[in-house]
Amino acid sequence: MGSELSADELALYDRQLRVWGAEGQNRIKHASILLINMNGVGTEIVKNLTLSGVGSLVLWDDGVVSESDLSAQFFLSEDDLGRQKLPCVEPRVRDMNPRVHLSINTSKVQFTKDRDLDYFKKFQLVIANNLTALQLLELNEITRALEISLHVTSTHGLYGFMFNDLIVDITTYTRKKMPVSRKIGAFSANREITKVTSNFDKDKNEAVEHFTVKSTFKKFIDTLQSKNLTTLTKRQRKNVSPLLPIFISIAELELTNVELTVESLKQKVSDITTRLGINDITDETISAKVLNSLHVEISPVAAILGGALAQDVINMLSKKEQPINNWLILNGDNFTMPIYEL
Amino acid sequence: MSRVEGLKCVLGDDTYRKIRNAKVLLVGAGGIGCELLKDLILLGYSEVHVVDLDTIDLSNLNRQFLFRHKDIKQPKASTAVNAVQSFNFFKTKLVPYQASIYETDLFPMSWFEQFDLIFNALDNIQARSYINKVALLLNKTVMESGTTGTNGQAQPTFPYHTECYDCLHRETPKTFPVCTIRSTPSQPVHCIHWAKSFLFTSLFSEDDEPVVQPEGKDTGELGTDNQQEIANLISENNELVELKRSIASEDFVDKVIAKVFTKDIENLLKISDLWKTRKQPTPLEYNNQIKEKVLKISKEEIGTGQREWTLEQNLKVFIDSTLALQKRIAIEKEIEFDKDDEDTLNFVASATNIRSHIFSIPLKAKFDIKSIAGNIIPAIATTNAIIAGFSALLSLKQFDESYENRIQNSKAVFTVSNSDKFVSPSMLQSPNPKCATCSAVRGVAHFDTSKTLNDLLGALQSTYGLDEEISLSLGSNLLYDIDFDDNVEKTLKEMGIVDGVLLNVADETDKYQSVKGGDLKLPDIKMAEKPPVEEKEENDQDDEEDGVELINDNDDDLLIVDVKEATSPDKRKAKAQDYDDTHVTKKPKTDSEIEIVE
Ligand SMILES: [Zn+2]
Repeated sequence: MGSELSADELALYDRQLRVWGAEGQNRIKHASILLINMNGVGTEIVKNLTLSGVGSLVLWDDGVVSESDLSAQFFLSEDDLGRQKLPCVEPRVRDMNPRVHLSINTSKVQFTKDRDLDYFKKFQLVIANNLTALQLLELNEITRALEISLHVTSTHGLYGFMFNDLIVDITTYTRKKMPVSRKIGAFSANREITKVTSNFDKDKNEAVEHFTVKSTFKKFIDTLQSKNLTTLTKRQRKNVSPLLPIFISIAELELTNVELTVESLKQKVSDITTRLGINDITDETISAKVLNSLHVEISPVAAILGGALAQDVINMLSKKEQPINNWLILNGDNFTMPIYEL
Repeated sequence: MSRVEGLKCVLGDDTYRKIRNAKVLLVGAGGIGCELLKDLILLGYSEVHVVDLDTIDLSNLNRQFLFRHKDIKQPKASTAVNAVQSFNFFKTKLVPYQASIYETDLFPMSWFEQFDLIFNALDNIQARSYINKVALLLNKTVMESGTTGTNGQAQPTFPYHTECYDCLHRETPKTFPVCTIRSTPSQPVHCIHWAKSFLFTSLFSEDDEPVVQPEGKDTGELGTDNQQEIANLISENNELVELKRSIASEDFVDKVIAKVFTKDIENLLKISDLWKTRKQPTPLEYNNQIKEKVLKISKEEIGTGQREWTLEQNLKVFIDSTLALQKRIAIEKEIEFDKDDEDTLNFVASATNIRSHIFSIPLKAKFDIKSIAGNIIPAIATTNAIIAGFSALLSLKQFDESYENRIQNSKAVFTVSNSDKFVSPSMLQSPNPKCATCSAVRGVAHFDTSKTLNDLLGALQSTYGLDEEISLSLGSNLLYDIDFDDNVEKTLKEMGIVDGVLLNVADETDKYQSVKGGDLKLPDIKMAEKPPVEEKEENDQDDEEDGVELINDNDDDLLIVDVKEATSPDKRKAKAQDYDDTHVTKKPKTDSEIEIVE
């Protein structure tokens, strides 16, 4: 079982140990995480990871508390308006679980690969919220150079997405053995099974199968150009969320310095859907809604996206469930959360 | 953008305005409840009432993020309400109650009436089922939610329009035959049951009645008709009762070990029929030499119970916990098993493992035994946050002017572990016509209890177009049917029809299903027509093929209840006042029936 947990940890974490075991908890306990931009989703992620008992957490945000923060950011209170955000948040997060080593960085959020490699190398994974597409590319260069996992989110009203780049994840999972065994080989665009073995688990009193999954990820910029969706069936392509080309378009417009307007977005979405081979799915009302609520957050959307991201981080660390590969869309209007392997 | 502009921009002006005026009930301030309370106040709900009977435990703190170490043993409802005040950005009015939702004197039907929506954030079937019945009586939409580990679901229920909580049959907990637990265990779970429900209870709980009666026993329940085995079960039991009388004696623990782990096993071995197809158990060998060795085992060796103990270590834990319980029983008189009471858990864990060793069953770590003996449900912060988030988002659909749209735009949302989606939303199902809870129409009635039963019969007949072939009953107590009219001149009060009781009105012809409720001012409900017999058979067939609950197609003409239209709020208020001075009885807490008379 690896190193044992203390009696205190055992009592505090009892209910989650029933999910990921002491082994999973030990991996979580040794994780070192950087979170950039403490918005509503960031607040939810920090809450979830702190409760789960991660080893260390650094928060990086240069913001001052403004009116618009008082929407989903429950570590803040009205008295904090006008103050630097992180010093307000820090003691309240620490109070929630003093076991987590917490620190803050309030310097300007900007990334320069040559200068920042040293700062980043102490982290096992980086989470960032609502970055501009350009910032995201720069950050992704750094995480790739250091082989650090990257998770990012963006939220607009009822809508949002999560993207992750774990570079490559090779993990062996154990499941109850089914009549037909899993086969070695690729089972989706970015993932393959590399090894399958089985044995009888005396403890569970059943036959189990161990299978190793190699999950390969792409850089954010490369997912924008992905041709993976063209291999979907016609019916599957028709069902692709209209939010996917919208989010890709917003990123591309930002990268090319084109102002985001109803017209420029409409044009870009049309280009992207053609490129992805999904031109049946444009939805102008949803485009308008996204544009109308750019970076506006409400609590339940932040909770769902922040919950999904934190769970994905825990899955990656505890090695109990396969991590998401690599785009997750949230449509809070019709309650769908499709995942696209780009 | 101001916080108000932000909300308006996402919710739309209309929904925003309605939410700012909506009063809602949150039942449960635990894992989902804490998350939901946060979401509801950050959405700007005008008023949230929070009900939870529980106090805070250490094991809550890994997910119930509004609670801190210093809050342990404090009530959940008020602690949660205090904790969210720091971010109560929209000045939501918050009202906490540390009480059981079943308390009808505290929470009568008229109290539930005030809420626009009910959010369930519960952890047990009984309370969900109770709220379901309240919702059916008052025609309230309930936002239902639940999680286990990484699995969760959220969905609204619309009384008589979509499936209710009871429409799905729920699994009853697994039980084992007595003989498996007592004579022929083959899995760790059998030994856990034996240690917790038989050995621990017999020795430390007050009830010293033998579990198996010498006469009139039900061999089906015992799981055996071997007379020798049954006789043995009884004598084993009686000896244990005898042993309990010497609980104050110095050598009590030695006597227990000698009896339950050695002598009882030797007796079992004598019943040769039991071991023809099974591996024989080996009685525990326990003597002074072994005892000396066991007593030398240190606390450090025992550790925290994450790994399995050896037989000797289990004996050490068994001796220590028995001695501790022996001391406590002198003061406490009676001790219940509690997974968070270390002495009781240590006793059960070690007794389980010693018995497992005897029967060649794999031993388990105390940590794993705790899970089964304590019925622990795995729970994590992320799933609760996600499910509460969906419950809150689903509530945004409940402010549409059109009831049909509310249903159409709502979904049942489940987490899934597919690699192409994170959740799966599905259309809400129609009510199950065989559901005993919602196939009977319900309504709240407002009675003047000095009227006679005859007055009530007349009102029922004229309001619902029933003839005299109806029956009225309170629980199992028949008040009237066509061949039993002794009570018609008695007042309703004399008949026991008082505030909070459930009156069952059944039509004895084939035309209508029973209606529950009644009034001199009766609710505007349509009697549910009984489904034709042939159709029922068809449904049975379909059930088998699909392996799912099947819903009758013609459910549309089955049932309608709308209490709101039946009695305007003003009238209701007047009625409630009318009854303030009449006799009001309290419903016993354990009663699952719902009041209908106010
Ligand atoms: Zn039902």
